[in-house]
Amino acid sequence: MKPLHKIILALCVCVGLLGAAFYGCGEDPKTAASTVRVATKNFTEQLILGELMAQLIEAKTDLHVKRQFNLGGTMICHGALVNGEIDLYPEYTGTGLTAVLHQEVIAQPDSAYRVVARAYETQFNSEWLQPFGFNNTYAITAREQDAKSKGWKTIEDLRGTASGLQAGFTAEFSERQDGYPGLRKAYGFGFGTVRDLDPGLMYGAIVQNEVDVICAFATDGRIAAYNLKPLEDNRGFFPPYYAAPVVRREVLQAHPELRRTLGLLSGILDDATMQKLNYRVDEEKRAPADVARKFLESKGLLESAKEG
Amino acid sequence: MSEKTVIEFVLQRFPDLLTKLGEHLILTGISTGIAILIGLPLGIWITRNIHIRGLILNFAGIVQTVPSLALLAFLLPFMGIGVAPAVVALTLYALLPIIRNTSTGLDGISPEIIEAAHGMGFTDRQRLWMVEIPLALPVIVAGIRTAAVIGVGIATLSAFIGAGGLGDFIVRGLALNNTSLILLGAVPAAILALGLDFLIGIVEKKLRRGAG
Repeated sequence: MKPLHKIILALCVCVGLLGAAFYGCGEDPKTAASTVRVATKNFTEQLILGELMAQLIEAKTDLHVKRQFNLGGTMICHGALVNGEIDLYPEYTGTGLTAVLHQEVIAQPDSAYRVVARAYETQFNSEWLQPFGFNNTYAITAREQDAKSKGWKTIEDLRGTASGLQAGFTAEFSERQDGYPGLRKAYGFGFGTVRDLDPGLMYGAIVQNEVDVICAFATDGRIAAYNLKPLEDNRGFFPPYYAAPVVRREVLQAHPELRRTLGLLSGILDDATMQKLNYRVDEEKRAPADVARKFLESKGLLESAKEG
Repeated sequence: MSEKTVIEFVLQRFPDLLTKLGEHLILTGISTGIAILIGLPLGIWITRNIHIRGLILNFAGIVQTVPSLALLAFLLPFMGIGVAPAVVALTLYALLPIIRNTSTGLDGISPEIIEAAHGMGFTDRQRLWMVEIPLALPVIVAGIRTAAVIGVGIATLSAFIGAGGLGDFIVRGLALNNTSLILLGAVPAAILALGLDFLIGIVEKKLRRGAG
């Protein structure tokens, strides 16, 4: 092929690819108005909660759901909500209180919820709907055999050996005030080495003895499955983390049926059930969408018939 | 953000910054070093052995094409987390520039010089070490320079797998939507890359002048 023809062909391919990319990005103006954008953070539990909400909205209302799952972290989701780039996402009361509002920890779960809900209404024009029911608190977690042999029951018990221990924390936990920096202040000691890990890698890392303690999530199914022992937060440092949908007020006003629909999920999950659902995705490698659908069907919220 | 708070922020995190900078240098340094130890001999070998040449260059080229995060993730089940998989991945990425530049540098020596050396009674080995490599050195060093700069960039990904480095600040900053934190990692990494590029570039220029 002549050099000139090659160049022209290459350009056509590039233009074609770009065109396809932009075409895929386009939105049908008719559906845009009745679309709800549901977002989640980047770990399993969030993906399951996102699917529970999305599938319920799709089944019970006329709304179309655009899924923006797996966003990078709390502040990315929060920022997107405030900017109006997403319409709702599942947030935890403790996280909203300390990481977003930068307020002091409130230990009583109901008070924490009320304070956070009020603040979000005035500051962010967003509403906290009813919590799902479980408390996914951070838990400083060690291997079961270490805990037994060294007599570790509470975080306080780590004080003596902490400087010789390796901790594996998520990037968020390493920086948040309700995370490692605050923990160090509250307990007055720190760990010898702290390594930043992707949340998905933490559990493998502690099982493989690459780290000694991790900031596990209390509802993670892998804690039981991998013989890990969460240590008791004897100084009550961690706030309660009850998860609930946080929705932009504008969207609730435009679509009041959302409140009723998402209200169906109120109190529907306890710690044990959330752990089980998480386990199904993390260990049994099932898709969050499947796990969510089966759960909704089991609660009679979705019909078992196959949908299109 | 006022000038004062930027300086305050950096001063506040300074000990952390130094630690992460050190980790980053170690990751880049060790991997580039190993890549030189492996890449240089391979680069020499493929100039002597035409059959192997395509194979080696293709292998190094394919490795380069694999997206770095994917390669890191791929190594995890075999090597676990931490410095080991990070160094392996970084070394693999540094191989192509070093191998290719070594072979290009050696190939670029004019045949008359080779003949002259042969005529003067040099053995093959003497010719290699006393004539060819010194002449090819500027091009070889240019390859090392490329490898080092690439290494600094890719090393930022080690943050995901517990290997430390300046990437930690970037990932934390991303998670918390904290621009200052992101820049605390990104700016020193960029300066590090530029600095290495400049310093090795000086060595390269000196060698060119010497050889020319």
